[in-house]
Amino acid sequence: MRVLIVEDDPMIGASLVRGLTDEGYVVDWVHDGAQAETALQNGANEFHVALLDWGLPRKSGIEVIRHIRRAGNNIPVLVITARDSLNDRVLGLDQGADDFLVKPFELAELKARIRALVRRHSGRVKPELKTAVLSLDTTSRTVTRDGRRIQLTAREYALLHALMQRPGTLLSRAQLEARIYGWADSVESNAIEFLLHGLRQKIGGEQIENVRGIGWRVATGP
Amino acid sequence: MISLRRRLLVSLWIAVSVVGVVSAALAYRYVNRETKELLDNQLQQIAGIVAGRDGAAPPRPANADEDIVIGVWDADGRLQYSSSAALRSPLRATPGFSEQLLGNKWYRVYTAVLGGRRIEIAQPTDTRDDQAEAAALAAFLPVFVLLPLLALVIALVIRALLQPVREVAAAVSRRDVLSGEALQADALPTEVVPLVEEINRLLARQGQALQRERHFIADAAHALRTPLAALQLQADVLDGSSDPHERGARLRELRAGIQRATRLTEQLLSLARIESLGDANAVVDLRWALQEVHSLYAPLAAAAGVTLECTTNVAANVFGDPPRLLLIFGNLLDNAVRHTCSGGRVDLYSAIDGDMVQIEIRDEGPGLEPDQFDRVFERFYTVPGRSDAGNGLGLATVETVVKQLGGRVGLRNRGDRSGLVARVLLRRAPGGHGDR
Repeated sequence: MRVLIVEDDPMIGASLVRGLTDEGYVVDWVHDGAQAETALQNGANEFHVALLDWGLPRKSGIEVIRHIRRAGNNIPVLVITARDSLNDRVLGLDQGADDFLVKPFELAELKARIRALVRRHSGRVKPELKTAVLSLDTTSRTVTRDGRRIQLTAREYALLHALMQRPGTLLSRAQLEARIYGWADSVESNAIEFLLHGLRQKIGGEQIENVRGIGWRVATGP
Repeated sequence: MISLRRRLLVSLWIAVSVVGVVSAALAYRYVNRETKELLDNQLQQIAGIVAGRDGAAPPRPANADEDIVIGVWDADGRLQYSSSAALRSPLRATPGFSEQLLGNKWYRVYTAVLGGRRIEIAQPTDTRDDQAEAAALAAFLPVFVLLPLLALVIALVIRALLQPVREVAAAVSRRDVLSGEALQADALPTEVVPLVEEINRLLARQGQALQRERHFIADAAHALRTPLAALQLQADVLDGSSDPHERGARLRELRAGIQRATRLTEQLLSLARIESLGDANAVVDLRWALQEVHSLYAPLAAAAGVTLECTTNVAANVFGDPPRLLLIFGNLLDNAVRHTCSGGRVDLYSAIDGDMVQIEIRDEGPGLEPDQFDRVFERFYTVPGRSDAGNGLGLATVETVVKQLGGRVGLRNRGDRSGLVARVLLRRAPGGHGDR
């Protein structure tokens, strides 16, 4: 899962990147509102969720959110703010924010809220992604096949997570790369194939189907 | 505490009583004397009438009192007429008024010798005294009846006049501590209006101070959230790693976060302390202050690999006090050192500038963008994109303190290379030696 962090405080930003990367998320960090707009415009479908600080240089959080919503971007936005007045929260929610988290907060709560946001956004009620055979629990970050637990690396998990967001949907190599690598990561040309190879060995080769020249999808049938 | 009302009452009552008693006494004496003169005139008139009735027994003058005694003798001393058996022989008084004993009573006697005849008109002195007394009392008594009435009126008038003052007092005592509302001065006596206006001015100033405090507390609480949030996350992130190398790096980040929170707290405290320092009328040797701050910050600069050069070429005194001056230069030096890369240098320079003294702190940092020069003095504003960003209080504090001392502070980018110059102008105090 790929997260955009918009935060101008260097310490908070750095810790968020570390904490979410630990969790296996792919994290990109921008420091001001203008950069945030550019990132969300260019990578409209790359990010699953955006963490947006309210008090940002150059363009405030509220301006960013107004701008991207007007542009039709419906990415889930979690606002992180030091301002906790009712007015601020009401204004933020009305402008298109999905959730609020007031500083200071614990990393565990932030992660739970991110999961909840992504879940709601994809129309699911339970924190589980399922095919006939595979089951991916986004809370415990575990993958099971026929009730048997499978150990995955963080990247393999991210890849499977991307594919299982909407089972049966084809994802191209570029789409997969965008979902599991940040801008700072250098991506080898065959990195996706390499990851897919490892993943197939663990969950069973038939679980990921390749449509030559288009992309990959998870198998929906048994 | 003195009560204006009681003082007014007592002094007015005393004054009115004294005036009343004295005027009553004077009236008594005056009326008494006048009445007696009137009675004397009466005796003279009767004598005139009696003299006009030659030989014959004079009729009693209609207005004469019953007990007036009349005696008339001819030139040979024979009694011509007497209204009383007691007066058979002349009283032998000299002509004019005199007091004589007749029988066993004292009389006021008027003796006239006209055409050889001797006429004596006598009136008992106690009758006269009674009449004079009655007349005098009639003049005297009303004053004594009116005095208490006057006292009452005075009390009521004073009460009514002081009512608005009591109302202001009641309004003040009813006020909410935090209310900045002004007191009504419309209905007040002109003498009290200045006092109420002064109170209102004080209330307004207090209200502004309170407002500033409220903003400051709100800002401070807001500003504390960011470092606290960072600390929370840094601790969480540290907790989430088991790799020793990684843990070391994360622990260092947590330590840096704690240092930042500590510095913010210290700056908030020094700002609060400065606000409560009161007026700074002392005089400080600038050379001493710069040397002091230099020795305080030299270790910090050395640790950052920055050379701190103190070119104190001016000996002058400035208005201020050591805590304020150290705060100003300390904050500016701290900024300068933090923004200068290792191997760079920070210069402290000073010079006389008319009746001011100019102090410049020049760093070799990145300087500022044009739109940032004003904003950096705002509380809690931090320059975006600086990894070593402060907490946005240093320059705001410096500006507050410099203004308290009647000076100015400004920033400009260096012309010769990248870097920032912070210039402080302080009021020059007498003493010191001028240049060099």
